[in-house]
Amino acid sequence: MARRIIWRAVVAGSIALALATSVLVVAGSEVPPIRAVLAALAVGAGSMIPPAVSSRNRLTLAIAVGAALPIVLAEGGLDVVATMAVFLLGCVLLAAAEFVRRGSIRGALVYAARQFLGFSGFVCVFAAVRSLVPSSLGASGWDELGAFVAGGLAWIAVDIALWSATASTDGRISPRFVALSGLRDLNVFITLIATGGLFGMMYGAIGWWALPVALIPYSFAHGAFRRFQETKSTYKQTIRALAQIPEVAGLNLSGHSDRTATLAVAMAEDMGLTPEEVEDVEFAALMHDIGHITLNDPTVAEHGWTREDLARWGAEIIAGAPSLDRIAAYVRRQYEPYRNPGEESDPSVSMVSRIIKTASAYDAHRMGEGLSQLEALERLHQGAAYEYDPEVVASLRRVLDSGVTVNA
Amino acid sequence: MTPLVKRQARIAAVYAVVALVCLGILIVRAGSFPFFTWLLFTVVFVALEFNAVEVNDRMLQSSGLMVLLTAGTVFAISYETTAALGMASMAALGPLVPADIRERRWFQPVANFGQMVVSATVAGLLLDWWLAGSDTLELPGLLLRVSLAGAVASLVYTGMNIVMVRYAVRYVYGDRTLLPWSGLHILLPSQVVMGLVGGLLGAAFNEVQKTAVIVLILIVYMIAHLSLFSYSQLREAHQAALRGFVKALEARDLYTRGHTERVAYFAQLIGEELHFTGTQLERLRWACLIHDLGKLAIPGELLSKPQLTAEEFDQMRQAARKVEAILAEVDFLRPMVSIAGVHYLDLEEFDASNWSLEASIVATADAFDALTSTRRYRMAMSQQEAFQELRSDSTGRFYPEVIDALERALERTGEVYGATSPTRARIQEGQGARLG
Repeated sequence: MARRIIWRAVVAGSIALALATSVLVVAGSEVPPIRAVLAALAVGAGSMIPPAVSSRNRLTLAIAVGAALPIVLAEGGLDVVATMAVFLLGCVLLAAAEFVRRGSIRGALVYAARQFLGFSGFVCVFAAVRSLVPSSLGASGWDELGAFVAGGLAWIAVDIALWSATASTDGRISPRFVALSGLRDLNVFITLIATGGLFGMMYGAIGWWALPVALIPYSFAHGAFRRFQETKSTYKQTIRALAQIPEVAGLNLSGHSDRTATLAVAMAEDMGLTPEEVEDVEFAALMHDIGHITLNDPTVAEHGWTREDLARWGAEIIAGAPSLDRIAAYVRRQYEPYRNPGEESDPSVSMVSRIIKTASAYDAHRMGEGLSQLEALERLHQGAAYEYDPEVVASLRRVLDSGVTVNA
Repeated sequence: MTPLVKRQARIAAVYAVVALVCLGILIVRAGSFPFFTWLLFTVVFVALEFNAVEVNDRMLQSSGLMVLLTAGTVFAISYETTAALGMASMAALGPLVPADIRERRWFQPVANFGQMVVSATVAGLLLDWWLAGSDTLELPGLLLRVSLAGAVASLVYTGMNIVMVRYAVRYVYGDRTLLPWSGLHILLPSQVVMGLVGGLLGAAFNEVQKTAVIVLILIVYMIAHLSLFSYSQLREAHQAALRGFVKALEARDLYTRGHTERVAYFAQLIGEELHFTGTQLERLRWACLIHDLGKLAIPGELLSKPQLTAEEFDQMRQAARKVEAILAEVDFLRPMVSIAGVHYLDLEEFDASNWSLEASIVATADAFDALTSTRRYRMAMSQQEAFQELRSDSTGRFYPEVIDALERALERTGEVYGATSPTRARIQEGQGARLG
């Protein structure tokens, strides 16, 4: 109870402090108050418009608004502290909007703080570059463009570093995975900063007309990002539906491919695989038992089959799609043991294959044989270093301990 | 030289010579030219055209055109009426498409060069004439005038392009292959929007007069275009994945091998005959790809049985229903599932109130392929018999206009399916046509 009160006091105090500092700083600067309030409102409003991204990071138009501030607010020369104060004011609104959206004060504050620190990095580098570049370049705007590029890079670096540090506090997802997945959204980040820069550079000459002019190229990009992500998720959904056909045909455990995929992805993230590899794990895990559909053929049932046959049939079906040949290779080798007695483990078997093998076996023990979590893990531990990769089994244990829920 | 090559050479030569004359005149009468700005635009324009994106709704396809028009308005207002030369020289570098280079085609690039340069020259001259002296205008009026000019120039450019492409195709290949281009009028609204946008950006640049602004605009365009490019590739991969899956799964059954691909082909022929748009054709293609997936969940021994008991039939229906349910969970596939009738195995399940033209196309293509192929339990019919059989169906599953369209399309392509001599085989009432 006491901790809760202290926590609330700290939250309220820091918000009040942020508000008071920024108001005082803005009031004492040469920035016109109306423009400061408008800018802060724009940051808050922008934070509600997120373009579609690949990672779980949230990038919003607030970044574009922020990128425009150093020029828009700099009529009598750039005042770094006042510009930061205006953005801080906006971050209070942004935190409020974030709180409404995700319902967690802590999450909203951490997110707002990250936005503010990223922006601070941007403004400081921007100002430094502006003061270094000779003003002879100013006529065509190259000085401003250079400052935008350098500042933008600083913002991206700060944001991704802070995000990977905070996103993995629960210990489940490796920071390496988070940082790499953040880098995949570089195109969106650059688009947002370029849009802000475009508005800023035109605002002085054409005033508010700069708004539609800057937003037109942006909306083009926004639509393209959305389409790309939509298609990506549709693709995954289709694969998932196809993977369930052996299950509805009664040839495999119902829900097996879905549960295996959930577990395998969590393990891959825990082990610090790259985002591309994690995607492969998901696809391969969803389809790892697609070969079961062949069991529908009466002649196959007659002649019998082995685990290797199933893996090979599955790989053959997947390889029918040229874009999935990598996945087919992973599925092909999923039956192979980690190592045979007296031999070294075969390095050509991919980590992806080992992960789906272990995740699939766990689900089969748990749901197929009805073992408890502890018993199922015990079985895998017995097979570790021979049937299963010990590192992968250790990762499975960590994932289960951190409470990943797999829908039964 | 074959007559075709001769006709191609004639068209290519005429187009290219006219284009070169245009470029020559423009270069000769040119004064000062903003080479650096031109280079900026050209690099991006060529890059965009180089990675041309195939998407079925054309709205987003015209990013290259938007850059061309932005450049045109910038040249016309800010650089003393150099739009015609600027645009024509940009367009001259546009037609280098990787596929043409890889396949060593000469006709398309040369003809495209001619038609793009000529269209760009005309559009550029229009902009130069219309926008001369407008840099003294006040802001709102300037934006309005330049956007309008951009839209009109865009229409002129696209219109000339269409006319020249049509003429070339008609001349070289004869009337018949004109079909694929007949939907071009659908492009016009998006061309107007591209023109308005290009004009707006050009006018804004005129006010700001900072070349760096162009770099920022082009960065955003490039990124948008690249995302669009990966989007179209992903879409392709999506469809290829499904097609590959279906093929691999069909491989189990000798008799139905290639069935899905043929059904998709027949449906495509019917759709084209009925003047479907790209989006509709694509939906049809997807529906055909999934129409037989329900069978995968049906035990193999049931599929090969000529006669089924009521229980066995019920078991089949249940299995197909389940597959339909999981496919319908995919938002994207839901409309296709209802067209394809994945669960639809026999006449009992045919529901006329739920039927549509598209559903009828898939059903007709499916039945036509089943009738003209040999199955375990009967021989293939001849094409003529198959059409008779389809027409005599009294349930209303096969719309007469759909059957007619298929017949016309096959006449047009000159293909003949089914047995060469008439057979006496009949489809078994109820299940035959569907089960294949």
